[in-house]
Amino acid sequence: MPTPLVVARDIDASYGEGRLATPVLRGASFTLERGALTAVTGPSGAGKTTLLSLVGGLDRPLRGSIVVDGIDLATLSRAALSTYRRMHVGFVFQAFHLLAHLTALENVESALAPLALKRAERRRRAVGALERVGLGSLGERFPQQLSGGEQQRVAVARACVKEPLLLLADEPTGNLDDESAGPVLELIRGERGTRTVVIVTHDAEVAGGADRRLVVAQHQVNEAACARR
Amino acid sequence: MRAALRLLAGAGAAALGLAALALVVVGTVAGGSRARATLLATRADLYERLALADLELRLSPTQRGLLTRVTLPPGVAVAEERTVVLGRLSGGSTRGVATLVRVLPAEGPPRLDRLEIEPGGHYPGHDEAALVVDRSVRDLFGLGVGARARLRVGDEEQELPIVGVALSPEHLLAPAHPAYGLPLKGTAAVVGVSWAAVKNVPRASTTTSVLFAFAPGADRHALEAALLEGVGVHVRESVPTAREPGRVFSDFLLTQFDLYLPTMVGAFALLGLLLLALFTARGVDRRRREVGLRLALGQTPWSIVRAFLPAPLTGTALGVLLGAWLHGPVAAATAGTWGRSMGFPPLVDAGAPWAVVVLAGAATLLTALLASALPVLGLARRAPARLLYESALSAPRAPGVLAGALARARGLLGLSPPLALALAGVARRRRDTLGAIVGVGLSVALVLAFLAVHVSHRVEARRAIAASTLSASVYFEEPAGAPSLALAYAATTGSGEPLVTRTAQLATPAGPQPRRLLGVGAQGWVRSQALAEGRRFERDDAPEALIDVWLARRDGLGVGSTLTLFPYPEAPEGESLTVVGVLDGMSMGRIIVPIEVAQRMYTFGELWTGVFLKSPLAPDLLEARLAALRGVESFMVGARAVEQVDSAFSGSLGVLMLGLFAAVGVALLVLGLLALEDRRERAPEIALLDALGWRARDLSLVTVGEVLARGVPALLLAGLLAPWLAGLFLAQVEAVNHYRVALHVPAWLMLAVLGPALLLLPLAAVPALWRARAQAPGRMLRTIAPD
Repeated sequence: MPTPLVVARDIDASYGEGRLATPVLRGASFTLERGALTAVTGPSGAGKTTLLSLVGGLDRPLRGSIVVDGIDLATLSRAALSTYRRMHVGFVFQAFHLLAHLTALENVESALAPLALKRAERRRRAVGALERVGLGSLGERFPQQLSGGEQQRVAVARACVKEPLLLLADEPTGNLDDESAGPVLELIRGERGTRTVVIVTHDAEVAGGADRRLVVAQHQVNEAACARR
Repeated sequence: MRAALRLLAGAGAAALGLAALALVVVGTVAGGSRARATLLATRADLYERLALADLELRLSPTQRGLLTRVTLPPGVAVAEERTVVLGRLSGGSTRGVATLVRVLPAEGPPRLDRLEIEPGGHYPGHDEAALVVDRSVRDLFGLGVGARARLRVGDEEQELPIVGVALSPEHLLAPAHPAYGLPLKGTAAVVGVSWAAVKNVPRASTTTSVLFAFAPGADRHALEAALLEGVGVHVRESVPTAREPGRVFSDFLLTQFDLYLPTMVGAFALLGLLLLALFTARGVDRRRREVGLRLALGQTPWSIVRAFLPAPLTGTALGVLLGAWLHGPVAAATAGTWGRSMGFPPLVDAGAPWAVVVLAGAATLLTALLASALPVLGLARRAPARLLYESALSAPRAPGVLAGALARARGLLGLSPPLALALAGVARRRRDTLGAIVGVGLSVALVLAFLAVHVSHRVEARRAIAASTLSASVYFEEPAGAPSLALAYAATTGSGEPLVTRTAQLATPAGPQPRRLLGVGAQGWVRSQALAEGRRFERDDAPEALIDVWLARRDGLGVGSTLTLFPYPEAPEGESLTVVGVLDGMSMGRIIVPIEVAQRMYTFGELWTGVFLKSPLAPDLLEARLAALRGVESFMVGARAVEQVDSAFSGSLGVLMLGLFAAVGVALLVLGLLALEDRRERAPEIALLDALGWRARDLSLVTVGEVLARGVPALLLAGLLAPWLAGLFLAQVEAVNHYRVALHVPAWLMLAVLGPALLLLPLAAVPALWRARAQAPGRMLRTIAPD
């Protein structure tokens, strides 16, 4: 059996700062299997986004270890975490988080910018990523000129263009209607196998389609049963 | 109020920025006003303390006791004879310098054109052979109280102790070059020598001028005419107080001050108000969702305005108060720098111009008020939903044609992603970017333009001296003939051209007006003078004249005008001459006539009153030789005049350099504040890019790129605007001074100003980068509210 890509042990984490800090995880442990699609569910405020942030190197735990492919994120410096995110992590956010004053193509390119690529190569990859999400002809449009679903597909393209190990999606369809959500989910699901995908979601259908389901509740992360493909 | 203070505290840098800008506006306006008032008050106080004469009649050397032989008309309050001779002073750090020597009355200090002796010195006693030196002698040559100096007057040379250092009217100005159009910044040395020291010098026993003070309310013109008639043919020149060289020079400097300072202050004030409005409006923009929320809650636009006003007004009010408090040092620095160039003693502070402070403060607060209220009212016209549902990463309006064009341009230019993002950012914030470019560009352009005007003025002055002076101009005590010329040439191993110089009376509609007359040969020096219009006279006896631009404008004359010149005020007949040309350059009020015409007017025959000298001798040696010549009343060596021109301009250069530092400082402040605000607004973007794995240096480059994207065009704009503005200012200088100055905008000046400014630009990004918190991107991203 292949080893898990991510092994997290005894994680303590909070959000907010100082006196406003709210503990969300206490001694939580979990793993993420390579190439699997894992759904993370739980009540609001339980710490789902925090879990994603920890795995993605966007935040640090107060205690515990998160080992990704043999590297403990908790021991990495700020610069090293930046490198980790640059090379190995793609994010898809609920609010899309596209840069309004860049075109769709430039938004996808922004994920490749820190890599040592020639401009032509960067553009080629970005164009390819947009084509894979079905938006090859809309690269010159600005985010406001795209529908919500299209914006999220651009965000998926941005997340996948550098072929990361991890694709982390935080409620990717939370701001979309059913019609728009479908294609986005398809795209994300389509990455399983190639990458390790984690989706935070409230949607039972989304969670049901995952290979594994983690439930974040009462400061703990537990695996729950789900229908596997 | 508490809410306002909380908001103010929360606004942090933005509030400080508003306060700083308000401080700049009020500080410069009030400071400039106070500086001007201080200079005027100092001059008035100085003139009162020195009891400057209302009229000076300069005479051919006349036996002492002239006043006993003249009936003084009613209205003359004080009359005093004075003896001023030419000498040479050596000692201290000078081996010898031409010196105006005032023979001090034995009976006590002079009552008019007084000497104000500094503490530690005294006026020479009745039998005390001693010197009192002007401050410039101490400052330039290190000859102060207790020192000894050698003074040569005529054939007599003696070593004398210095018993006092004085502030004297001559320190402000004493033109030793009557033909020189531009007043000098003082002679090199002015001393008062006690009668006991020079009683054996024949020349010291004559009266060379008479000073008069008039009773308050007296008719000055009538008194001048009566005194001229009463004193008679001894009079060589009549100098009323308005034309007293010291006053003329300080008027000249104050006119320059009035030209430069209001423009600079006005520009900085406008710039400050513009930027204040910009930042205030930006602060409103940042709270656009709050406007949407308040509208959704049912508040009226005006009630929202009232909610938005306290924070910017509090920050602005703080700046206004600080400006009111700190304008004093601004005034002191400005007045002090300018005052030094005017030779002023310690300044007499005119006090705070409270009316100006209140007006400037009110204008600033009004600007902040309007800059808050109008954007709120503008936003309140939009549908609340549009305002509410904007996210921190979205744009307030859909990108237009410009945004698309810029995106294509970015692609074509192949910019690195951080720079592309920086450009996109400044383009998105068009209002701020345009405001910053215009504001910074204009302020730097203004100072550059003033510097160019200063340089142009200085260059032209030096050129004018070189053109008009040759090696030296020499003036005889009495009209002299060929032997005197020969002596002068021999003593200076030179050659030259004789001249006649006098003050003639020009008939004008307002009555006869004294004007400087210069008679020269038609084929000599006059051929080297630049013409603005017309031609030069061709013969030494032609009934023709040349005037300068100053005279042409003041007296409404031009080519073809007829001048009627009288040699003396009471002369029954005048000489009619036709103006054939107008001379260009920095001459102020000269009429140049053929030499024989001048000789005929004054019945000099084959005599002259001076000579333009050309000599290979070094300036120091030339001065020494001329000072040793008999029969020479005064002379000016061209090199000395150049030094004095430089000295005259050094004060304004000081103020301009202050202005330059202020302009660059304001530029960095503006760009830094914008960068700080941009970084703050961009925090979610930065967090996103951090999440995408952007390196810290790339994220920093976004901020630096924004600073450069605004700063470089601003400085380029400054470089383009400066010559044009300089031309405008020179036109003002021309209109005020009535002489022409060609514009010189040397490349070194532009480089010297713009080069360092360009290099300093990245510094403006430092506060923004410093403030960027080392916050984990996850926490920042969580603060971005979803749509």
